[in-house]
Amino acid sequence: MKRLRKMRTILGASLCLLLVVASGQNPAFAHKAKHTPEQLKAFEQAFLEQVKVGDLLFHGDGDTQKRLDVTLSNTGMACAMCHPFASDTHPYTFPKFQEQVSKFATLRDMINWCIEKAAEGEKIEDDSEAMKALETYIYWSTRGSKLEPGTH
Amino acid sequence: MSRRHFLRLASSLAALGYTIQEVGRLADAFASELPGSNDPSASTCRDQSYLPSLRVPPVTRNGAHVPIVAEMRHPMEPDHYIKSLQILNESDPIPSKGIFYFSPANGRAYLSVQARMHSGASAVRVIAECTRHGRWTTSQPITIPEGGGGCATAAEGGDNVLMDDAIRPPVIRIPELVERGKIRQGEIIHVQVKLKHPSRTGLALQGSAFVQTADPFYLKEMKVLYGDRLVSRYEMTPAISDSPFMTFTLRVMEESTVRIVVTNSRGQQFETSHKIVLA
Repeated sequence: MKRLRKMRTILGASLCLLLVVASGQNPAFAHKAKHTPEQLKAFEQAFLEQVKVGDLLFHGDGDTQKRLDVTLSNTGMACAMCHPFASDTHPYTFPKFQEQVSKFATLRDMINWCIEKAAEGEKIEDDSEAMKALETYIYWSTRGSKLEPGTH
Repeated sequence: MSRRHFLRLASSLAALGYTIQEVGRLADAFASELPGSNDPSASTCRDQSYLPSLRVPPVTRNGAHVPIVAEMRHPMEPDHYIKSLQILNESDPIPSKGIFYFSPANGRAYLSVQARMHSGASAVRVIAECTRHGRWTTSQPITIPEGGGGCATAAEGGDNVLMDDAIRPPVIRIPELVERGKIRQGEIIHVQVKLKHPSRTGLALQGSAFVQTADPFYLKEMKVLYGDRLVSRYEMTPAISDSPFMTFTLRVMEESTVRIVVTNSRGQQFETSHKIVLA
């Protein structure tokens, strides 16, 4: 009898949890809900704002570098001078073992490698606004690129 | 503070104020006596401030991509303007990095490009030509460490080596539009041309001498049209870097289309255009 009562309690509790999950009332499951068009628009706007900053940095804009307190080059080089259209950056292939630097590298590692070695600038913080903007611009520019493992 | 000290301090401050005012007045009077100081187009090119300015890195590790900015503070009026800027490094196997021809529609004599240079200590030179007063030149020293030279680029395996993605036609980028999203009439804007195109000198370094081992393959000419008018022309050489990112200026006078036509050494043409819409 006691065992039956225990079983009933467990079953009831599970049912309640299932109902809560299904109705989406629990805030812990809020991210499972579909985004509204307004939310999606706001997300896209935030993304494109980063693309714009990244675009300016990628093409060597001095004012943006000053504002973000970064020196991407000391010679006048800009990322776009070797990577027009962000070509040959292959962001989707990272992280991977990068022969050039003889280590397992992320895209951010490679951005800093280019800043220091090719552009002769000063390495930027991994979580800085400039790094996020550059990364966003590179991903945005190469959207839809065909990924061919082993050829990059 | 004693009364005497106070009076001495007050009189010193008054005298200082008067002196600053007088110096300002004299400077204004002196400036207005300089030829053409109120009318830049009436100025003479003999003025030292009209010397072309050249920006190159004093030291760089990568001789295959040396960024160069040449510009000149000079009138760009129909009867008096800078006709051309030529960039050279006389100690390179290919000294000329090209000649950019301007017209008054450019609004400013400005060119930014990247070129190939050999290692060692040398000088980059810019020669500017004015329609009235002839040529001026400025040079800047540059040092590229041994092994960093960028002139030896023999083609890899003949004419049909280009991968599918080795060439991408030009695209016009206007930084003023990226930054603020609009252009005003009369404004001088920067026009940037980005494209993906290899540039091979066909030279190989054998010992200390350069030997031509393959045909050069490079961008030969860029024409800039604004509406129907030819505004600028850039005659390039194999000493231009791969995929050069070129910037020049344009005075926006009307809503019209800017068209760029690029031709390579094999006669292939690539074209792009951008409609200028005024704010």
